[in-house]
Amino acid sequence: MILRIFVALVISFLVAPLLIIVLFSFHATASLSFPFQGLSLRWYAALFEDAQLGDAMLTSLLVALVTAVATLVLGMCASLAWLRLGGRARAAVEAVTITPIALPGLFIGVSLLIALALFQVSLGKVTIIIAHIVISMPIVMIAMRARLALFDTMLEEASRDLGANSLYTFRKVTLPLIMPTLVSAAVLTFAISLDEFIVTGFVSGTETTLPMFIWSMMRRTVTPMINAISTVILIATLAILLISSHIERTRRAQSLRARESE
Amino acid sequence: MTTADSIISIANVGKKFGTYQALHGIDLEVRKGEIVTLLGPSGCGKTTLMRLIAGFEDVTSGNLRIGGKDMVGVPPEKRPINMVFQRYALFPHLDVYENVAYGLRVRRLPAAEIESKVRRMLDIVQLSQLSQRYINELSGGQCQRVALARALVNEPQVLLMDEPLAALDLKIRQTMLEEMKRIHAATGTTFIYVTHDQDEAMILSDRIVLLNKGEVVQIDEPHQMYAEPKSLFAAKFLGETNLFPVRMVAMADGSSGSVHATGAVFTGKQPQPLKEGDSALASIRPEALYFAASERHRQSFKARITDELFIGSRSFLTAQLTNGDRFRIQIQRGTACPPVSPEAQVDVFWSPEDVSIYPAALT
Ligand SMILES: Nc1ncnc2c1ncn2[C@@H]1O[C@H](COP(=O)(O)OP(=O)(O)OP(=O)(O)O)[C@@H](O)[C@H]1O
Ligand SMILES: [Mg+2]
Repeated sequence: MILRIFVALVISFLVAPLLIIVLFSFHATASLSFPFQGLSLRWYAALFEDAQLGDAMLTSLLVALVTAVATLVLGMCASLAWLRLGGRARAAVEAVTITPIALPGLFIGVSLLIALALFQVSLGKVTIIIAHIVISMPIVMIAMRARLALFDTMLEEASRDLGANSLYTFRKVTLPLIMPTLVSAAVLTFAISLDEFIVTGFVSGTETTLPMFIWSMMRRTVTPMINAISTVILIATLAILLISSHIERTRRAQSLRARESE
Repeated sequence: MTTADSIISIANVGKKFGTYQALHGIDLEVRKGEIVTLLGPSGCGKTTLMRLIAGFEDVTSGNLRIGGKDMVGVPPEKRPINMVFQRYALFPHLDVYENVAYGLRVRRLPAAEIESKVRRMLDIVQLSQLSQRYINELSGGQCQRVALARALVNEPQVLLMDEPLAALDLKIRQTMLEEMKRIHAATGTTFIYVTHDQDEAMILSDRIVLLNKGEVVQIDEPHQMYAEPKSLFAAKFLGETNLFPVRMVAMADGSSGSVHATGAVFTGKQPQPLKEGDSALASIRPEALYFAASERHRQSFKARITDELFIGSRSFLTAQLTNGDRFRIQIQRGTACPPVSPEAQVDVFWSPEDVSIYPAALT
């Protein structure tokens, strides 16, 4: 009983702020506190009218998407290497890829800026994406390492024993088994990229991402538009999660059906 | 000594892991259609030898040929061999059907052919009903059969099996052994089978390869190996045996024999060289000891029966010699035998044909 109450409390503590934000995004007045004074879609309308906000949102979505795909590919390559390396080399790869998680964002920002200046890369969307990949990789690697530690390399041997070369084995055995982890790591990366702020500030040049835009907006006035933006982001995130789990399920069903029609 | 019907020929093969010599001087010819078991205690190198044959490890020294071709540098996927792994290694993301179909899909066979081969193989291992199950929805015995089917469906020239029954309980193990014999008869595939269970080895094998500490100790047919173990290790590892400490002596007729502390005389086979005065161990199986003399069973000593262990169809009697040495006698149920009595002395007889004498120092 006590446990249940505790669980309920924790959940409501986590969920309540979200619900309040969603609720007030539909508020009819500019007030951000109770009593609630009726529903309206005016803040959503305001969102769509604000061209700058729209640009910032598009930039952020684009950056997050590219970052997620890039880390997916990089994570795949890294895990391939991880499975094939033995003891010491593996430890070295881990150290290099995971340690950056402990570095302060400020430090990463400054060093990236210096590095980019060195190579005379002009700041913009590309540099933001590079920065986000740098920040996300350690997190992807941590997720992958946990999964790969459980990966039975005997399965790869079994595949080769059945006549498959290493590429076929990777496509048909290794990848399907680590795919769920890769996808969830990519979704996590997407979320990280979407609200990254500190490092982005160093390398964004003239670009503005959504968190940067909201930040500058908040410095002027606190408007209920913030609630509307947050709600949109929340729904987008939930949608991504649902879609990724749905894809997994339909794929399974499809392969079953494909066989029956054979 | 490559013969015409030899499929695998292993000559003086050694394998080192770093500085550790896991296998040395292995010589083995496997004939087409044969069931050969690799038998030996844990860590003796059975799995290592399998992995060399399958191509997952490279030989450090010596020569390994399959179907007459040297296997240096030939990767596992290019060898006419399939393996059933010690822990099955079934693909968890595929169902039973797809697991079995895997090797055929790799070879890009026509869909209809894959279908018919997989269906037939699932019938053979009696898994047709479960073809859509995922691996985590199967019992241990079912997994084992999937692993077998997945390998056999490719019609390999050689099937390697690494303790495929180790995870199963006794009952299903016996069923699987019979099934394996049936499949072997039906397919004619060459089986190389790893086990450290001597019963499995005896039931299944045409020949047993007994390994110890990375070396071949003896290669023989099961009967032969049981009846005439060539070393103390073989005698102790395969079946149960009584060992009596003896000293080598010259017999009255000039032949070589041995004498026990109680004065009992043992003559018999001496697979390894022994000379007069050597201390040795005389080995007799519990079922080769009798309470009545016959023309064959003419050597004897006196013993007291101290205990009886009844295990259904037979009993094991614990007996004690006058100097305190203990040994066991096995009798079939229904055979007359003296009662357990710590006082009464009885005569125990055996035939020299059932005695082997080994040097005591070597194990
Ligand atoms: N990759 C390896 N690196 C180092 N040593 C190894 C390796 N593989 C096996 N060995 C060693 O080689 C010896 C033989 O191992 P192997 O796995 O062949 O034994 P086994 O006879 O199959 O034993 P079991 O009955 O327990 O399966 C063992 O001492 C083992 O520790
Ligand atoms: Mg083994």
